[in-house]
Amino acid sequence: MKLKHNNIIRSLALCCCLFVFSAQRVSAQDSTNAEAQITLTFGEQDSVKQAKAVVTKNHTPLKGVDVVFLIKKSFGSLPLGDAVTTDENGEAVADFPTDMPGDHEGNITVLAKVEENDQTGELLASKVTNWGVPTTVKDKFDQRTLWSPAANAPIPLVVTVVSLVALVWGIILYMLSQLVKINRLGKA
Amino acid sequence: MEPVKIKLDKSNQLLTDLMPKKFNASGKLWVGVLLVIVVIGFYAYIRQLQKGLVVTDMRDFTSWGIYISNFVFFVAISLVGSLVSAILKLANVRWRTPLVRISEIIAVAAIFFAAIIIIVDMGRPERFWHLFAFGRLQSPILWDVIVITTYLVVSSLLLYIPLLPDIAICRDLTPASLKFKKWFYTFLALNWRGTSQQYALIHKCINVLAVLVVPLALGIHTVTSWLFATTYRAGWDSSNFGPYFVAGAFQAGCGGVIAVTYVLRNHYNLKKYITTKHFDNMAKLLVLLSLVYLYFNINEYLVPGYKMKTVDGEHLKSLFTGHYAPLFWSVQIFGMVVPIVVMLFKKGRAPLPVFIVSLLVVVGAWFKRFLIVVPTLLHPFIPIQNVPASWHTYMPTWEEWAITSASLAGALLVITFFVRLFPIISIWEMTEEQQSPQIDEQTNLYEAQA
Repeated sequence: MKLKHNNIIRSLALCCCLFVFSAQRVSAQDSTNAEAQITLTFGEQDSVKQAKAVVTKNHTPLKGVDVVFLIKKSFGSLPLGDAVTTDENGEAVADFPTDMPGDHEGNITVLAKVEENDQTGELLASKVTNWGVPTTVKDKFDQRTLWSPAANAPIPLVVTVVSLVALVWGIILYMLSQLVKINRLGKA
Repeated sequence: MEPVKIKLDKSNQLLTDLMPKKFNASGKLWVGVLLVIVVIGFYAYIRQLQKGLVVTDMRDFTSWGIYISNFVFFVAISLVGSLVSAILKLANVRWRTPLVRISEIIAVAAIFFAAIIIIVDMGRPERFWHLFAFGRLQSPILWDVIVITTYLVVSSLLLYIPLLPDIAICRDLTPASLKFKKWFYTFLALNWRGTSQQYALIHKCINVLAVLVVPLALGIHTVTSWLFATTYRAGWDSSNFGPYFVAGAFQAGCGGVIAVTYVLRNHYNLKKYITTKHFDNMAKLLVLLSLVYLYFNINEYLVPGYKMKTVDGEHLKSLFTGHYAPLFWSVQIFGMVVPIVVMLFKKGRAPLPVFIVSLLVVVGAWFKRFLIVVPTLLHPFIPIQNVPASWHTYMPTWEEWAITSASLAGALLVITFFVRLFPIISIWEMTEEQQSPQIDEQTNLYEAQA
């Protein structure tokens, strides 16, 4: 009986070893793809701001890979022109517009993306630069607008309505006072 | 100011003719029919309270049905108070005197039921006070609430203050044995003794209210039109809506006062006071108002009809040639064109034709409000998709008809009971006219012209 048990344990141990070995092989294949990399840098040439993406695989530059430059928006991304193909140095360069609105400090998140490439798969790099035009977001929540809560009605509207109501109801109260006067005159 | 001397004995023919009278058989039948309609409507409203607005045919798209159509109709009718009491007064039109109180009670009854029908339209009526407590000043709905409340108060004052001397007559002529009736008139008469100071105060109040009520009347219906015009919807998106609504309101109100005047004149035998000349004049006024309203209608439909923008076009096609065409053309022809044509002729301005035409105007005015409210709601900018088939159309349920009919019957009941309790033609103003030589001269001149 003991012999049988030992055989079963050995068989299970062998299966586990085979499973771990095969898993390591798959992992090795993935890491081969993962060695394709994209890096994003910013620079200036002849006073023109440029975003530069470098695509490598196993530290070797890849030529002929289409790179799309994008600017991250609140929802989705804005393409920065057409896709740019990498040269023999694995570099793709896109001119950066000078009027792109950024956050209040002018920061913009730029993305460099390779889509569905046989050699690299999908690659994505992102980096923040302060090349954007600083924009001030007006927070209208506490402002007096027609669409604000009741407490934040526009002052001219409040003044107009309150004045009209006060005027008309003032006259109504005056009329009521005249009725009281009529009543008193009758008593006298 | 000289006080008006009114003889409180049988020799005063005005008292014999104009004091309120008990209902005769037809009067009782009339009240009975109206009460039955009110009771049925009340039962329907209880069902609506129990089950919610699901008993109506109002759904996501047609969220305003005949309740709101009826509300706009009531607001429109109520403008007649300012027309006869104020505008004709300020224009120094003497013949208006017998019609003033009739138009004022119509105005008060109409605006009162306009307010009630708004509460009926609310899914949670117990939250009505939220409008005042939490209303946003930016919303035209709150403006409407303010202006309706104000107009109701001013119209009530314009009815009540000139009524004081006549209430005092009722008080003085009511036997002491009728204790409650005596107390009722005494309470309302505010110790009226008919002194010159009291008359001076009354005249001052009437003058001030007459000036005040005109902008208020324009305001109430203009703001009501803004409930529609401030939304971006086909058929409502018009900068013309304010004057369009006001013109329609004066026309409907004028029709209403003529119809009620005719019934009261015949039922209470008031032909001596409400003459054929009154109908002739009111008919001419109605022609003028109908022409103005026709002009606004042409503007409202012809200009968008010329452009036929996508959704506007669909909406207009449903009115001109589609589902609502029979109703639309009936309203335009019988509610506007026919009255103008008939009353252009002298024979058409006799009491009976004017009465019939006025009924056409009033009925046309009600359905006109339906055509303003409902077809637009059935033509939203985003197509109606993936909803139950019944949501594509609107056909009021029996509960809606019952409640709406009850509100109309209720307004008529208010007028009926008012006539039962108070003189419908002002006795003191008629006496004042008889005692004033200046007015006599004008009246004689006017009768000679007639």
